[in-house]
Amino acid sequence: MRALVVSELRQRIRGRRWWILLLLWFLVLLGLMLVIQNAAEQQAGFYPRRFREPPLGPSMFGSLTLLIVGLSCLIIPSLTSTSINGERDRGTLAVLQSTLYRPRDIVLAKFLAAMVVALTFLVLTLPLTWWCFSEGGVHLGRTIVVYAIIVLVLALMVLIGLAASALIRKPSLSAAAAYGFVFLLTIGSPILFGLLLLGAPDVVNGYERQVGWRWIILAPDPVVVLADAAPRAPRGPGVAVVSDPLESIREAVRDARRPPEVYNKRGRQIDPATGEVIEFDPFTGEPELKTSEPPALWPWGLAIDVLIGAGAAYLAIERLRIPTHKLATGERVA
Amino acid sequence: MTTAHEPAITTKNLRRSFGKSHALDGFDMKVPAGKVVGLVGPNGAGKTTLLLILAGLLAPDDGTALVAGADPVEQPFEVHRNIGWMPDFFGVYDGLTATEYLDLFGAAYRLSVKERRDRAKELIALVHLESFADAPVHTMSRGQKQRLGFARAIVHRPKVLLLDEPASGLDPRARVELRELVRKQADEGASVLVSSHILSELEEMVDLVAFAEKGKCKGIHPLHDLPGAAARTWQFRSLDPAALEVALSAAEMSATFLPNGAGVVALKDEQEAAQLVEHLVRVGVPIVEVTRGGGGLESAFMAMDEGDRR
Repeated sequence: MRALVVSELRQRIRGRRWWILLLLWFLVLLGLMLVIQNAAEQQAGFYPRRFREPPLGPSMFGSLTLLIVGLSCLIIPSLTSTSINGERDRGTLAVLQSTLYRPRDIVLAKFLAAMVVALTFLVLTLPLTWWCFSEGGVHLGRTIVVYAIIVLVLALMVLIGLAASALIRKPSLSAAAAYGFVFLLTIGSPILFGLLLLGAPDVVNGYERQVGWRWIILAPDPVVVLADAAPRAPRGPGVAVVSDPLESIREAVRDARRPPEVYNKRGRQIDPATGEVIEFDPFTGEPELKTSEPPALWPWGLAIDVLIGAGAAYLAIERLRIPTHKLATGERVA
Repeated sequence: MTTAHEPAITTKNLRRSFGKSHALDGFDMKVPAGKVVGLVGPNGAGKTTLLLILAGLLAPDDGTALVAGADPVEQPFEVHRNIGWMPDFFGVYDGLTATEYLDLFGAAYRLSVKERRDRAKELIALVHLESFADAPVHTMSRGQKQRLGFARAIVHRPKVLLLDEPASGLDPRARVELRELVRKQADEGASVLVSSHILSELEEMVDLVAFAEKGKCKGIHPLHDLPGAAARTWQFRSLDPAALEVALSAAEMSATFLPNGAGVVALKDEQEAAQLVEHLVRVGVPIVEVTRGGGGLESAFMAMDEGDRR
């Protein structure tokens, strides 16, 4: 088992391209972070002097995590999306299957080897996170949760690639399928949600749409899970937050689960639980009475993602079971 | 567990089809323990399919098999413990060295780290790849990769070796080396089933020959006792191929014809050959060339093939 992981890794790191890719990954992230820091600095400059100068950390860290997930979508599926059918094509898979290695050993070894590579990419982002810390305002607990969720997201992408490479015979098609699925999950889900919402019946005021069950479409999106699960950064008095993209996404998706607003006969908004009229601060527009935050989406999203990952692993193992009963047309065992 | 008297491999009525083609159509065979058995047959006779089923990789549609005492369908990993399978086409991991490659497969059979290291060294010496021990596999020639593949197949000292066309694409020298490697395994007690259509290749390697034809086993014979083994083939070339064909069939000779029009006939001895030449000349067939073909296995194969074609 260990030998199998080691040999997988040996083959990868002996290729020059992995080192080039690692270097590029770091340089691209570093470059983008420089641009983002500059933008955040500009934004911070607009705040009046009487406020303490807002820290740039949260804004930069939020952007960094989104960049990591976004770039991972481009790189991580390729770690496994041709790993099983590629071995089939090169005539190395059947030889491996003719030994005492079980299907689950082969799948697990490929998963672990890909995860080692994926985590190497992630470790390279730590200096950039350190930089965000040094800009101030970044909360350690939040950082740890965000990194933990990114690890899960990477594992999900690796497993999707593995399943595609096990189920689809042609490497070019399985790579396309793995990328397609990952993009469906990250970009497709908000688009689908938006379209479904346009067709949904509207609520009283003719402006807001009734979300109903449709938020579940949004939930498994890795970006949504990440933004929603991250604990909120503490807001001290006088610390204005320079826009943090993670916070914005969280607000937006939580809104999807906000119950429709309820008004009394005089047209004033009331708290549906207590029937109390909600007063609004004339300056900030924020409700003075603390309204409860809508329930989180991420437990649902995470559960769906874990199911997808487990299903992908199951399918990959099933596909490697021997002796083979059915063969696709043109497929050879060896 | 296999005892000396129990066959190493038994198959009963094995059937497997791919779409409409029946690769195996009721294959019955017994391979005695401790022997090298050649599995001979034309392409498409079902040799590779048979070996895949015996290696526990492919499920038959029907029938049963027993390999080293285990059922490859029900207990594939029990079978794997006891067999070494070398496919007709296989790849090696290009990024690994020969030593690392053998180490990986040593681990696949749960050998300890030390056992793996010793065994890799031993095997590399056995297959004469010392100069590649620490060189990446992709720098090897086909013959060298084939030898590495053979070493891989015996890394766990299997009781039964399944070799699918191991000699194909090898130069004569490499074939001789392979033959010696296979004989050595048999001398150490392994049972070997080796498929090939390169008949002359098997002649000096095998104790028994099993003929495969259209998914069936057409009998298994000791090499020295092959039906028609004494016969040799003779090639007759004529200026008038049509006349040759007519004359041969008139003489009730079973012949196969080569693309150049030459007729190939299996004859008992030189006496018979001389008589046939005389006869052909007498009936006016313009003979320009008579050549003696391969003997033994090849003519036995021809005879069997012939019988089937009629």
